Amino acid sequence: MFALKSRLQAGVVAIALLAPGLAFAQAQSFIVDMPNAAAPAAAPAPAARPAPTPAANPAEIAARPDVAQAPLRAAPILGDGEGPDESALRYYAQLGQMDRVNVEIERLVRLYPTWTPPLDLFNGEPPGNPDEDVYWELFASDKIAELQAALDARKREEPNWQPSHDLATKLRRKELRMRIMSFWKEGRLQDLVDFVKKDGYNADDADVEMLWTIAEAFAKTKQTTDAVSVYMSILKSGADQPARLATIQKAMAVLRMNDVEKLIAAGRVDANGVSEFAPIMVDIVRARISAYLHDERVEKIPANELAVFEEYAKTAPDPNQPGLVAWYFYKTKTFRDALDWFKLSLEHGGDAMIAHGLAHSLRELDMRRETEEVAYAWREPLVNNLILFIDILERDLTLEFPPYIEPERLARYAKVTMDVASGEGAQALAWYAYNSCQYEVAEQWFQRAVAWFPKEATVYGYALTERKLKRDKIFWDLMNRYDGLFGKVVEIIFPDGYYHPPTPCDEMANQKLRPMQQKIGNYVVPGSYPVAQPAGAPFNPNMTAAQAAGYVPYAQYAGDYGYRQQAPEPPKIDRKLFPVAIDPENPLRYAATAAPPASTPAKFAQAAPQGPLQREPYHGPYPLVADRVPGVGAMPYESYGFTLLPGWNGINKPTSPTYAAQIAPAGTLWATELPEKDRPKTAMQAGSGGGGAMVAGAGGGSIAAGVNGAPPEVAPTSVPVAAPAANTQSSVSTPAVRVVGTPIGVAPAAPVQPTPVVPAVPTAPQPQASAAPSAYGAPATVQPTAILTPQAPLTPQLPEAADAGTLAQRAMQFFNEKNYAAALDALDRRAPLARETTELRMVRGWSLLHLQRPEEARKAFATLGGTSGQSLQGSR
Amino acid sequence: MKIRILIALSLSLIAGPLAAQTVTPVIPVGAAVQQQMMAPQAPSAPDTRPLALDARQLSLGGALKTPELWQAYKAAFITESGRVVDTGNGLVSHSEGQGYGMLLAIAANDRATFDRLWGWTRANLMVRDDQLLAWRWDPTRRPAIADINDASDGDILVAWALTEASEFWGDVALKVAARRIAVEVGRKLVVYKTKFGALLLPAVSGFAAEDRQDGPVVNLSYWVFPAFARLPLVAPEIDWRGIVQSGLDALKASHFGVGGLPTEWVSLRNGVARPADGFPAQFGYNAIRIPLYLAWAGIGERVHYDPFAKWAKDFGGRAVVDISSGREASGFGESGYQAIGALALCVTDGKPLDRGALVAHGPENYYPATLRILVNLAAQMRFPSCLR
Repeated sequence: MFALKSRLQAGVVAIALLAPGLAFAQAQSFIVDMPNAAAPAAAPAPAARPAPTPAANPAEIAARPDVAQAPLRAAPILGDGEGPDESALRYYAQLGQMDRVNVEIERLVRLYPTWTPPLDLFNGEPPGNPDEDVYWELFASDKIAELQAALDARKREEPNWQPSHDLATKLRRKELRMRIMSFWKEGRLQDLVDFVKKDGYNADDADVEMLWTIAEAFAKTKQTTDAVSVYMSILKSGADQPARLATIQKAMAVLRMNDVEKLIAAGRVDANGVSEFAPIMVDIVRARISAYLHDERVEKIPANELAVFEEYAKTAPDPNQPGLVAWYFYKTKTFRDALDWFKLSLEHGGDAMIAHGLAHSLRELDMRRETEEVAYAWREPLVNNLILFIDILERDLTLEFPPYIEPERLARYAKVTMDVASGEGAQALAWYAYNSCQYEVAEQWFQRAVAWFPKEATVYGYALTERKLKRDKIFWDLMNRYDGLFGKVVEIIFPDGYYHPPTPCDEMANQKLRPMQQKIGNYVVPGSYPVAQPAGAPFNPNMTAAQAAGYVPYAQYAGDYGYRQQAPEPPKIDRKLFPVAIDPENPLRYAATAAPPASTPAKFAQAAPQGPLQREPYHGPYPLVADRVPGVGAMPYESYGFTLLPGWNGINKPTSPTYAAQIAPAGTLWATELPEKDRPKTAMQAGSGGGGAMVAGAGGGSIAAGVNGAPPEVAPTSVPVAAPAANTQSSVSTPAVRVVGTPIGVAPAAPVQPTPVVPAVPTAPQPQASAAPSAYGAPATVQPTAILTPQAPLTPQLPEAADAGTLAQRAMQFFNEKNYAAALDALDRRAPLARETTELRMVRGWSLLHLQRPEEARKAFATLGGTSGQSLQGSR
Repeated sequence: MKIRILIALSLSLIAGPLAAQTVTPVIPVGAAVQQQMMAPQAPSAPDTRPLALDARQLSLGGALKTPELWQAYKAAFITESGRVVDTGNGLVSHSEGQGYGMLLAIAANDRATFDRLWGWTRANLMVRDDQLLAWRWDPTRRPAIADINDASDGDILVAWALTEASEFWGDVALKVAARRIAVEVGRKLVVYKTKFGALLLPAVSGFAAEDRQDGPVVNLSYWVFPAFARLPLVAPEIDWRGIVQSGLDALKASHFGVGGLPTEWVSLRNGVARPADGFPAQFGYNAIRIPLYLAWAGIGERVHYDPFAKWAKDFGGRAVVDISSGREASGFGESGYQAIGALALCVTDGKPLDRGALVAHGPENYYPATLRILVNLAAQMRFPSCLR
């Protein structure tokens, strides 16, 4: 169980982390409102502007009424930060040389198609010396080296001659700009900032575009303080409004928002309290959301600002805009709002990552069935969805009393599992088959699971299955191969001495016990023996059969609860079977079955010839006594006095706690997850403000409680997870329709695949191949013997389900989670839609018993014989 | 053949994996090396020329242009069941070696061998309860998993290989596997927001600040830099760039001793780099891979490469160096190791790689042979000018 939850958590961590990435990408694609990035010299005098007044609170930018409707947009600023140099143009204009003016205008327009001549072209400073024409021509054509040479030559000829102040100033500026731009184009950012710092630069000599370039270079070389200073110098200069807005946008693209906030705070505020940056409020809020998603900002986005962005995002054609809002709500654990915004994003053409967010929102809202559908529909465009599809159903499949799962759902799950060679999926199907008493099928899936992901619980299940099938060679090979590594596996032959109840499958097989079973009405309650109600004794609805038998579940993991039936004695094991020498290599191999794509990059490369490989160089001798493995706990037989050899690094004691139980190192994402026992099982349990960061563990369990999720030997199934405190009101999609109310990502454009028809057993040669789907279609019976502790009744507020199948599945699920009130509620809502099957009637009866409504329970059980549908007794 | 000892045998209580390299016993510094070290060094101005690095995104698939090297490698070290055998280390296997083998199979466009390697890897090393790999497998022991801990470089190498394979062969199954491992690396093995940024732990157990008084302890050779440029293909949510930067910064801070070389294991306690306690303060079989990974990724600056270039010049790329004295602690022994020094000089000085260093001239063990073929591959991908 832990393993699966970890994976789901990782998946959500992935989401939480990916969202900022998306947002950041968005932030980097700002279009800047800068139709005319005029140089400071062309701007009005600073005195003509209102005095800069820092905003009282950078987070509070009063919105202009028209912002949301018409955010200021403009042409993009060139990436290299260069813009037209109007120096020569102005010079010719002042001289009245209109031919040259026109030529220069044509040149600039050719270079900068969006550029337009300045309106004040003829209102500049008085012209310089007309004999500098030749120099200005060189200047205009960027022949700086030739110009410098010409000036030097002139100085040599006329020692007292100096170029005009205008020419000298503009030459200096151009040289500076060309040097800086050269560094920039070559990507030599460190050299650029070194040059700027070493040679200094006069802000008067730098136009705003050059300042942006310098600031960006500082930012990208992590000299943040300098970058902020340069941006700040622009704001404190006489730059016009477009340049000021663009400065903020440039800064947002390269700096952390915390630094940008300093710049925003330095903005001017008018008499009405409106910031000069209000026209780009959408962009600023977007960046603030991005910062929040990046954990660079702690405060949530103020409601008024968020409302402005929401208004913009609702109608934005770019699906990433509502997607950003969705991720924001997801991050704030407002999953209902996140769901709505993910839906909107998908309606706008959102991609598979948006669908992934939608699926996880559904999961957080405990809409697992819908999660499964969305993840399945979007599995091909994004592997994250495929993984979620596998993991979300894994929990249900590995429950001790698995809920009803339609054959077609099992079939498609099996196909996906086979296609991608998923060890997680294979072990889930294996446990499902095992708990359905279908050991031949279980064997097939366990073999694949052990080939693909041989963790302890999976090898344990495989060993149990092989023992059931009396395949002794394989069973004892497993005992010997994993001796010293998997204590849970070896425990099969070295029992822990505690009593464990028989499994439902054992019960069915044990004819001797049948007479001892409890009868209610005409129905023999499976798993109820050896409850032998004393004649005349009152019926105790709170006592389960297992309790009556003196069993406390999972007591082996908590000594306070259990008791040993007998003092441990070494079991008698044939020494020809254990320990014996064995080749330690796991020999199982199975390939994925996904069809290869028609074309791959590999087809264009030379395939390697198949040369010889080495024969295995080591053929024994193989040892009989296990070594101590660092990170692994004690082996079961150590309690009988046996011991192990030192480990490879010399350790001679079992590791405690085991590495599997270690505490996550601080600073890792892992450490931000709550411990398993404290982890909310649903988003509702987490509450609006509760739960830890990155909580994502509602996904459910793997196979069982116990060591590494391994279940007790004779009950190889999982502990029901805590009941969800359901509290959600929404539409629910059914497997058939999937859309009720607003679409949730299975819009017509979604890549819904036809349901595959595949065998549920993995390989064609297996005799179960054709029969398996129908075998799976008969769900394992509901055997509530392991449901022990009456749960405080909780009132579920489930989404409306539209079909009987979904409601049946929910009822089963709630029952397995010991949420009996919720299970009854689902059954009641299902009742008008379809007849109640035997299994569901049993769920009803046992739910009523657990809710201390014995008379109603008796009635439910009494009518078992009159119902139709699949039942345990009928199908076995 | 020299008797080899495992690095960590003398560190029996230190939990955690060590790169499955071997070291030779310490031997006296050779006269030739002593002479070399004692020779007066003419002061020279630091070289500030920018490095001609190529950090483009490159696919690994089919990148190996010398298929004969792959065939020889396969025949020598990969079993029919897909196990990469560390011939110099008791015939063990490890996650790192499986990762190298898988990467080379992709580079050689050898899908059949890749499948064998991946099949063996998952069937035998993925025994943990998470998505990571047990790092050491020893056929002579019971059980063969000698340590349930992982090694982050092995995890990363395998995840990278699966990523490249999924891209090259268009196989979604491999992409699923790659993502599961990569996300787990980002989740369990990266300590975020340290003074160095996002630090890569060598293993899940045994190296964090909570585990050791000098923790966190890192192994700079576990930063498989070329992998970090490709893992975003399967796990874009992880801050791989931040991990790269922390590696570069930690390397820059780990210029120890007279040679400025990093030690194998580095303590970064309180943001200060120093040789980790309990480990020999040496530059050796682990750290030798650092310049290989830098060059293979096409990243870094002179400050990162210079100590390795100097080591290549001073010791011919043959010496394990004692950091405190700056002298040779032992020789690497086999010639395959020298290929890395040659690659470092290719990067810093544009010096052509000696053809003789790129091929084996006789039987050699797994590790030097692996480093040699990886140098070939890295040079073919990033520095073809050094191969002319």
